[in-house]
Amino acid sequence: MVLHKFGEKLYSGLVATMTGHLKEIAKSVEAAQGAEFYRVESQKFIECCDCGDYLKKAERRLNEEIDRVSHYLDPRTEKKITNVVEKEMIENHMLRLIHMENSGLVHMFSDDKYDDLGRMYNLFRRVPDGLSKIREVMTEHIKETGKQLVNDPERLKDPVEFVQRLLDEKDKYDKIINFAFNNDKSFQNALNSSFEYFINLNPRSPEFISLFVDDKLRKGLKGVSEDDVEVTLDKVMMLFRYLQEKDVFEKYYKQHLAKRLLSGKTVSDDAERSLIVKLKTECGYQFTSKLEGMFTDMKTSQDTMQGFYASHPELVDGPTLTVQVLTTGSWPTQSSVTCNLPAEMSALCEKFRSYYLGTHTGRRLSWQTNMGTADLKATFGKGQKHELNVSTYQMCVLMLFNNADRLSYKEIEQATEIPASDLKRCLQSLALVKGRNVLRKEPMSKDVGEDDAFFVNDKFSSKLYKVKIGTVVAQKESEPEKQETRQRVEEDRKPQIEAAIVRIMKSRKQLDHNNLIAEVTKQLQSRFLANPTEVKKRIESLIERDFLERDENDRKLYRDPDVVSLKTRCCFFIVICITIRTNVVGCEEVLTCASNLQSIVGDSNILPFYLEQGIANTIGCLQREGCLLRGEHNLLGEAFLVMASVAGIQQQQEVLAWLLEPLSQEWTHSEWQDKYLSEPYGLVYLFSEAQVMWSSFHSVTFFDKALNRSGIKKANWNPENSSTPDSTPINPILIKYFVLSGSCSYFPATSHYTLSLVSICTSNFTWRDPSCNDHE
Amino acid sequence: MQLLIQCCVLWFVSPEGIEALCNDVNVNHTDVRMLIFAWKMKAEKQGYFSKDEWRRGLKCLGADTRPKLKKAIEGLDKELKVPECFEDFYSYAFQYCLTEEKQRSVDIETICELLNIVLKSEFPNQVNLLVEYLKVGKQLFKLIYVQNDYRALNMDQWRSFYRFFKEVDFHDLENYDSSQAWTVIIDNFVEWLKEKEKN
Repeated sequence: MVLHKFGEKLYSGLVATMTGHLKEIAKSVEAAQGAEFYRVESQKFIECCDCGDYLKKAERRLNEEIDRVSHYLDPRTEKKITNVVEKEMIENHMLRLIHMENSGLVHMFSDDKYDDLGRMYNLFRRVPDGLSKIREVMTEHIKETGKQLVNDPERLKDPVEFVQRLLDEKDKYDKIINFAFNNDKSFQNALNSSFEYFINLNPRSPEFISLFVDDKLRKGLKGVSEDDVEVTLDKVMMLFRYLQEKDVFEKYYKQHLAKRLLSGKTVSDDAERSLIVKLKTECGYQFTSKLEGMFTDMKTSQDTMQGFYASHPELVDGPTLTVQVLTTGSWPTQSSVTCNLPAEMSALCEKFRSYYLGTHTGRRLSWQTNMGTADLKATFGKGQKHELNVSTYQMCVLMLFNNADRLSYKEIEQATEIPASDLKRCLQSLALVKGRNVLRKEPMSKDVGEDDAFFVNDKFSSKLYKVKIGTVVAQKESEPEKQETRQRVEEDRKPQIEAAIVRIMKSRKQLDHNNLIAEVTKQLQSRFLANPTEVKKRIESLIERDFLERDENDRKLYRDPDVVSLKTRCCFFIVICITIRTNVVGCEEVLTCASNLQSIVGDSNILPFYLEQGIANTIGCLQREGCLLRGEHNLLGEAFLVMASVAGIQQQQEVLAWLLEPLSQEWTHSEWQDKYLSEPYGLVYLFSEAQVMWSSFHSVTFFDKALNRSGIKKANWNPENSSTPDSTPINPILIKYFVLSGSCSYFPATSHYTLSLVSICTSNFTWRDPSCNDHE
Repeated sequence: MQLLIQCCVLWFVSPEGIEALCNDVNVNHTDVRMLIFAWKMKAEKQGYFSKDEWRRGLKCLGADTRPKLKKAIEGLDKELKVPECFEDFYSYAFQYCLTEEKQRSVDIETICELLNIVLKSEFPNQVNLLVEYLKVGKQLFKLIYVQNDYRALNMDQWRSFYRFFKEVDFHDLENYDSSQAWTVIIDNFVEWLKEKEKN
């Protein structure tokens, strides 16, 4: 009877439990069977399928299972079941699939099999370590192919082709990661690090990338739309980012840019500028300041030429001279070369020189005859007329033939004084190149010998009226040139390493060896990879010069000696600035001067170089970057003034002018003036704002000292007597300076002083400033 | 004390005076003990003792008569047994060789002599090797390191020699770590030693 009553419940309960159990058993059996089933199947497939097919099969099986579960199994079992498939079909065979001959991962990469790759990615991401295995193999593969590419002598013959190949490789993998790997960030990173690895295996990569850019900017981008230009330049920037030796790139880029600018061969000014902006964004102001300086020089030169011809109207009928005045330090260093210009040209050049020096005192000009070009109108024996575009050297040689029919090598050498190797090359290009042989050589041998004789080639003919003979195209460097550039780069790195060490030690006060090396490397990383041995050498050099000291007890610890006076440190920084920015003077000599301010003052020969605009920018830029403390900035300025005072009154004024430049920018601002100087009580506001007050105080103290040193008496200063016509911004500033200096000498100014200050200011000085609307 | 001071003709004992002194105490002027004597005196200028320095030296040695001075000088090499003293003396030895006003480094020849005088007794083997390296290696490295031919060494490098001898076992050079704060010249010396061992 009990059973009857509870029978239903019991029975249904039993059924439920049994069903549950059965389901469990079914699942496990299914799972177990599944595992066994898939193990067998996968083994069968892997023996007979290639990778792509296998993956297709695996994918199909997986999808089948998922389907099955959704139709008649508990959805919670999906994971369990798919795990089985994943384990048996994928995980157990991962490596075999990847490395399968003729169809594995590497082949998929080579043949751009996006589908297969995508499938592999999707399947492998389901299993632990699946993706990392793919990534590993991809990285290895890219590194290997990259390594072969950069070491292949055939490929390296044509730098432009070489870089194009690099870009193509990058494009290829970008596509793969995009289409097949779901734009996975970790794969992007792996790609980047692989590229970085192999690009830097070849020390000539920076040079080649620069040559690629040169080719594009010279002709490759001709007629290309603006957007496409940007795309190309962005690709170049991407390669640039991989470079470890960015300073080597900078050096070559400067050389190539110089050649492009000077020969007027750039396809698009906008493209050039655009790339410079990109480089600036990537590397900071320092990197591109000199490059920008080059563009500025080109523009300024145009204006100068206009001014020259405007003031010498009588020269319009003679040969046309176009001069580019290059600021030393912005342009690649060139040794000065001897060359005798033909009489007509040298007279003209002298006129230009006096014109230029008349408007820019304190500068030195030297003609760079190895970089110029000339257009000559020539009439040959049979009356053929041509216009020849030649280099300056070639012009000098050809003009000699106006006065002689036959000239021996020795006569040419004597008359032109061109250095032998350059002369030989020059004569070769004039006499031995088919289609451009305006000269004839006897004997007709292949090379130019010292006993050869030259004649005008009366039989010269060319289909073109204008014949181009001179070549100033950027080329891959020869072995000795490469060595020279490399040496210069190494030399330039030394002061940068030293500046980094001093800067770090100044802020940390003491640091152990390994950490110092690590910090220095980090600081310099955006320019180049610092060699630890070289850093060690620099450390020792700094110890010797007392910029650093080793701890007495712990020889692994370095200390910034307080003993190093601010002045000495300042000299050090001047010298570093100068060496880094101008590359003019030899690094070693200048650095030995750093420990002794006297030495710098004594050597006033160096001074004219330092008075170029670039230095002011450098100091300004260093200050903006926070590398110079205000005290140091003032001492730098003071040091320059000291140097200037040795050199002469004109240099002094020039130095004062550019020292005042940043200040004048601040103080001529109408807001500043309105706020502080438009009425006597403005001064009260000035003193109440601590920061402005201190800043003005320092500036004013500095100029006080500066002017005292220069011997200009305050009371006698008459703005209308100032000598240089373009110094108008200075005058109002100096006047206001006097007001402030009078007030600031009562420092610290508290409120009950301010009124007395104000009355003193207004009584002592009158505002004699015609260019300004201020009033007393 | 009076007696001895009277022995000196000049207040600045000059090179001639020192030679006379050496004869008196029967110690060669290149003997390490003369150098130790100079160190005790804290003599500033090589070849000269000032009156104060002389007084200081005699006081340190506790000598006020000639025989006492002779005995004291003869026994001076024992002064260096204490390591701190030795380090101080060792640095002093270098300092003493700086004759010009702004001179920071000493030429290789003098360095080699100095090494022999100061360190040979304690590290005979090492000193021989180092001297050989400095003399021979100078030629070699002129080729490799264009900027760094060792014509002269500075105080920091000098100090590193003694520390190196003290801390590094020449038979165990494999454990030498050139990324440590040893001076570059020591790094190069170790490389040279390793090459030498191979051959």
